[in-house]
Formats: sequence, structure tokens, C-alpha cells
Amino acid sequence: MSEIWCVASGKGGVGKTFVASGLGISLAKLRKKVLLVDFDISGANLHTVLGLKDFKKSIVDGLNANSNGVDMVMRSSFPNLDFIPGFIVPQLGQELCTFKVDALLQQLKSLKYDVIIFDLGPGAQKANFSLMNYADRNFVITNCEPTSIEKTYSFIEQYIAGDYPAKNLHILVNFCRSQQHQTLGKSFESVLFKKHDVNVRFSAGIRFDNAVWQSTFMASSNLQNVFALMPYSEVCHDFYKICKQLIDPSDLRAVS
Amino acid sequence: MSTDFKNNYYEILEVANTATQHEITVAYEKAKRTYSAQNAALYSVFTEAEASALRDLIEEAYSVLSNQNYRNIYEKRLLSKSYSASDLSLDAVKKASTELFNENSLLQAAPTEIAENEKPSYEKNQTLESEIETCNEWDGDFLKKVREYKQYSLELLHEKTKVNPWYLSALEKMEPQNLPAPVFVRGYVTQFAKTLGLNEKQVAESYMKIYKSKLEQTKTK
Repeated sequence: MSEIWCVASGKGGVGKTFVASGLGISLAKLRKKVLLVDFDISGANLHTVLGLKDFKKSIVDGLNANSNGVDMVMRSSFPNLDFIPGFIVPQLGQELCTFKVDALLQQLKSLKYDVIIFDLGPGAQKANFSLMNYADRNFVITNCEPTSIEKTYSFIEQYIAGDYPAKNLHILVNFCRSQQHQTLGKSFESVLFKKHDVNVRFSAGIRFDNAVWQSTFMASSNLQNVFALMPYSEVCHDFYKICKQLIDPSDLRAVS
Repeated sequence: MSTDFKNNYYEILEVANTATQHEITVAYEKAKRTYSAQNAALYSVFTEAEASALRDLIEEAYSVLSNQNYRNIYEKRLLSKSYSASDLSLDAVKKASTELFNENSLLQAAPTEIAENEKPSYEKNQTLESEIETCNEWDGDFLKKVREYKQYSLELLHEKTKVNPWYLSALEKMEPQNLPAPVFVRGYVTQFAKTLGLNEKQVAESYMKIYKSKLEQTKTK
């Protein structure tokens, strides 16, 4: 049975797509079969983070039901990691039709992946919430700035207000530059518990790392992910650490 | 606003009520950090006034839970559910703890309040007075009778004679197994009789005679 993980955020530009790819690559390196799906219908760019281009089909074909799951899947440059590209689809608007999503998820689940990761678009939108409702784990990404923190709280408030079960919430704090930032996730847990009676299941910090910035220097013809370029950097270590804590200990394998 | 917060001190510190002292201290340090004015995670959720109220609550919760005496009282009240919210506050718990301490403590007998030479007053009883006058067989029972007649409690007698009250009651019951060597017992009886205003020499002589025969009996048993 595949697990579905959703990566969402209240604010754009906090590193959702990067975190989705980081989680996917780390899990693949921990020898899980992983499928990354770009559900960011307002601006797909997961392919860029993975250094992929020239794709023929996208998630739209799956939603329009004129393609079955296997056709959409692309191999990535990492073993065990596959990918379904997204596309900017103005005609689909912000609403994902529920029945189509249902059918698509059935197809994806039949593909025998251990973990399927959805990279969602930013903001508190119905389309995002309905996808999060299907997920086994929902990661809310934030960074350490007040704007992002405010939007994260309003995102979670709206998610609870929509009667979605809030039991699978995970908080990841991106761009941590100090020890205080690293413990911000724990503070979120406490504040959400006190204010909204929400139990956050997991929280962690991801350190700011120049390696990510350096990995974007590559010429566009030769884009490479930080995991390929600098696999021993701090940021990669943080992703491994997070994934190791989320995998059932009996299934835990060494990083390949 | 304050009703929104969890009122239970355990919930304020976010620990289970089975938490150890160490866990409570760790949780307190964490809560203090979380609700410090510098923490960005409070932004847009708690105002500075609310955060400061929370900090006070956290301090209060730790004051109660970090002290085993306070924590016992608090837990008892919390479980019985018959106490109002004000009975569960730090001040109420502190007060209850002080009262409990005074009840349990021997200091309640307040030895310093009794002046050295002060004697408890008692009503004269002519028949008993003459009985004391003529008695020449002083055993424990009679000593007890006289002590009670003269309104001495064991504690008071202990204060005056400086003999352990436990020995004093053994003296009255004539229990050799609970008393030290006869030479000490003689000393105790002398003190006992002197304090009660009796002829201590005569009392000790006659008491020791009876006591020694009792001692022989227990030895042969």
C-alpha cells in the first residue's frame, strides 16, 4: 500500500518544491520506491529542481482521464525515484474535480510505489485542501520570517475550519539560520495546541545551506540537484534525518 | 482569553501527569523558551499581553509541579474534582501545604510557650490526695493515674523531664522490652516523680522493686 505525502504551504517561495524533491530523493536513497507528483497547477517547476525537461505527458492528462498512470511517469536521474510532471493549466482553474482526483489516485496507488509525494501549489485553496485530505502525511512548509509565520497559521486555521482531519500535520521550518530557528517547529506545536487544540505529529528544521545556492550556478543545459552535486551537505543531512524519523524503523535501510 | 488556555498545570506545561521531575523541568525550560517575547512563532497568534499572561501561568505551573509537596496536594485536589478553580491555584496549594505542615509537626505543641516553672492547674481531689500520701507500692498504672490527675500530657512531661515520650509510656505500661537498662529506668522514674511533685526517692525505690520482678519474669519466659 502506498503512502501519500503532501507538501503544502501558506505562502509562496518558502521552498515547497525544493522540500518535496528533497524528501523524495532522500526516501529514494533510503531505498524506498518514490513517485513525485507535481500538483502545482498555478506554476509547476518540480521538473526544474530535478533537472528534467522534455516531457510529453503531464498530470493534466491523468486528470482528463485520457491517459493511464503508467504513461505519465518519467524516470528521474536518481534510482528508485520517478516523476509525474505538472503543467500550467489555465482552463482547469483552481478547482480540481473530486471524482477525477479519485480516479487518478486509484491509478497512482496501483503503481506499487512505497511513497507518493504531491507537491502542491501555495495558499489556502480548496484544491490543495481536498488533496491534503487524501494524504497520510501533510507537510506544511514555513520559513522563519513573520510574513511566512502569519500565513502558515492562517493556512492551518483555514484547514481546520474546513473540517479536515488535522491529525496528520507535520511542520517543516525551512531556511533555519540559527539554533533558535531549528526549535521553531516545536514552538509551532505548542502554540497550535494551546490556541487551536491541534496536535502536530512531527516538526523539524531544515538548515540554510549555501550548497543549494551553489547548485543553481550550473548552466541551464546541465541543471543538477544539490543531492547530486553535494550529497554530504548540511541540507541533505537534514532531509535524511527527517526521512529516517518518518520511516518505520523495521524498514530502515542505509543510505545508498 | 484565560479560559481558552488549558487550566490544568500539566496541560500548561504539556506533560503527562505521570511525568517525572526531570521531564517537568525539561518541559518548563521548553515552554519558557516558546513563550519568550523573542520567539517569532508567536507572531499573529498571541499578543504580547497574552504571551506575558501565558509566561506567568507557566511559572505558576512550574512552582507547583516542581515541588513534590505542592504537587501531591494539587494532584489530590485535581483528581477529587470537588475543588473549584481557585482551590487549584498556586496560593491555595501553598496555603494548604503550610497547614498540613503545621498539623503534622510537633512544633504545634509549642514548648517555648510554657515557662520553665509553670505547672498545669488541676482540681484537688481529696481521696486521691490521701491515696498518694499513703501509697507505698508505686507501679506504672498508679504513676499514670497521678500524671493524668495532675493534668500532665506525655508531651508536656517529655518537655519537663527531657525523657523520650515513648519511654515514658513504656514506663507506665512497665514494658521492660521497650526500656533501656534498669539503671536508666531508675533515672527516668526519678525525673517522672520529681516533676509530678512526689517523693522521688520513695517512688523510685518501690517502682524499681516491682519493675525488677517484672524483668525477671520476662527473662524466664
